[in-house]
Amino acid sequence: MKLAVTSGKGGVGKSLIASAIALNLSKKYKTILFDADAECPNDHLILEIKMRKILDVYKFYPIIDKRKCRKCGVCAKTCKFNAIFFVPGEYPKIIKENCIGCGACKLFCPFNAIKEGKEKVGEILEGDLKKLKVLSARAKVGIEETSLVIKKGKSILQTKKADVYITDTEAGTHCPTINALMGNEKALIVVEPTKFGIHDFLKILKLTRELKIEALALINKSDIGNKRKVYELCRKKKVEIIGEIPFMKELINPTRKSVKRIKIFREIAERLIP
Amino acid sequence: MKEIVVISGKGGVGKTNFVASLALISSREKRIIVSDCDVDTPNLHLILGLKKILESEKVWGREKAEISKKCKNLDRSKVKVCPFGAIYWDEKEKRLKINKYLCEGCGICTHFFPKKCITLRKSLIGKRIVGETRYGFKIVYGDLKIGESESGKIVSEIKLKTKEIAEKENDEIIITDSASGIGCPVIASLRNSDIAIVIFEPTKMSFEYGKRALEIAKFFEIKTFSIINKSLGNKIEKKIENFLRKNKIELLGKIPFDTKFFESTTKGIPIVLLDKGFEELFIEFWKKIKFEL
Repeated sequence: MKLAVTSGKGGVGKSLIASAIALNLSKKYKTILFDADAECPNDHLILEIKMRKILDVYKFYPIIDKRKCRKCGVCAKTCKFNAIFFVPGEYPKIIKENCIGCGACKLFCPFNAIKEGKEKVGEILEGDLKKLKVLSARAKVGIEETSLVIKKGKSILQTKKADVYITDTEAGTHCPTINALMGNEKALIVVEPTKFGIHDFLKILKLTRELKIEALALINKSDIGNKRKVYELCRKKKVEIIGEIPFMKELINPTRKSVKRIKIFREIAERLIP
Repeated sequence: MKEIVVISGKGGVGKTNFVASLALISSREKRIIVSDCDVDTPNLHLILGLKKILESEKVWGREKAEISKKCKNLDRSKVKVCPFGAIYWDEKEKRLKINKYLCEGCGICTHFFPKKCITLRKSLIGKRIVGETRYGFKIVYGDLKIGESESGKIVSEIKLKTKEIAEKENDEIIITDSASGIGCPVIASLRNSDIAIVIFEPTKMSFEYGKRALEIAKFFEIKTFSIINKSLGNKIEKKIENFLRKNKIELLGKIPFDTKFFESTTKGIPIVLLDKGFEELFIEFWKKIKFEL
């Protein structure tokens, strides 16, 4: 089974729920938890797992090889992002902040004068807890290429054999979330029954539908807001609600112990794989 | 004119409610405008309430490639030319297609297919909206379309628009709700601002990523304050306080954990309007911030 745990709004309990489900399922199945919340990978903190780096993720950027460059300007013309500035008679200048690393310049340089520069944008880490494996994508501070780090993590995930794959995504409906969602069979949307939570739930639901991933809902902190509204919405949109978790003070700062102790998590995990 | 940006690292720690409450308190003394740079899930207008929308403008982003429906017999092996893996074979329609979410608009594919088969088109990434809140001051926010990657760009557009209005109307203070995380939109949110306020909650996760958010503020050399929200007085809270003391980051104060916040975000009413105690607390915060301004 390939399940993503996602949400529109941040801080609704995605990491906690993904970790708890993975931990419970790992007792019966070979399980991998992929923490694709690359700007804020948390799962290992909740599960208290020591992570080790398995590789660095790099972004390509061009370096002009002045011995080969004939100052023709093809690279600047090819680049769609204004990342190469060219004045006839001079070597092209690279504007690194504009470069997205597509490599078009290198591909189309007639003189093979562009060398591959590498800039680190993140890293992939791995850790184990008994039968549970955790893989985590961590983006460097302030970079734009979060998606690249997630994609790399995903390609490593695909090389690992397991019965259950749980992916913890970033919040929101932008590219990093989409990259983490794609390829999953189901998406478990964590929703908080507040005004913000419901507004953002509708956005992420629309996204899962566009990606043709079956959406399930889980209401977290179910006793704090307007739960009925979530039920109404889910009935109208034909989304199955897999369960609800009441607000618990001990889950504000969750630990592995609390995740293990709370029965609801086990029940939810069992409902996901009957 | 001074700009205050509220950031957090981890999501869901209470940025938006903090911004709304600070805006209400400060607007009693100063002319203010607020901006919401969390363009992926903009919520500030939900808690402040919109009286009316004054302006809505489309924001255009990068180009995206499209393969014409008419071109059925393209070489399938050419899916490989896309460095982002956006070209795929659609088994149902029996033709090559481009996944718009993965396409970055680099145009490499246009060199490998017949000219009439592939087009690059500018894509609409979202809207930039100016509105008037229930409380009189204005708000600028963005609404990004699903699946867009250029949130940094739309954040910059929102910041520009806010500054423009603020200058025209002699606003004294801009209060900005930043995107969460530590990526490019946060950098764009912080750029050219005067004060950063980092919100922590007493959890390991918030500590870890709040620290990273602090690094960004430090990089810009912005005067930085901090807040501990949902204060519980637990071990991790002490750790956060020690860290802040060591790094000489002034703690504006702590906001106690209170279930009234749930009521606030459910009804869409800033916490300072629900409870006198919280109102007084925010008046204290505002005094300290004002002193710095």
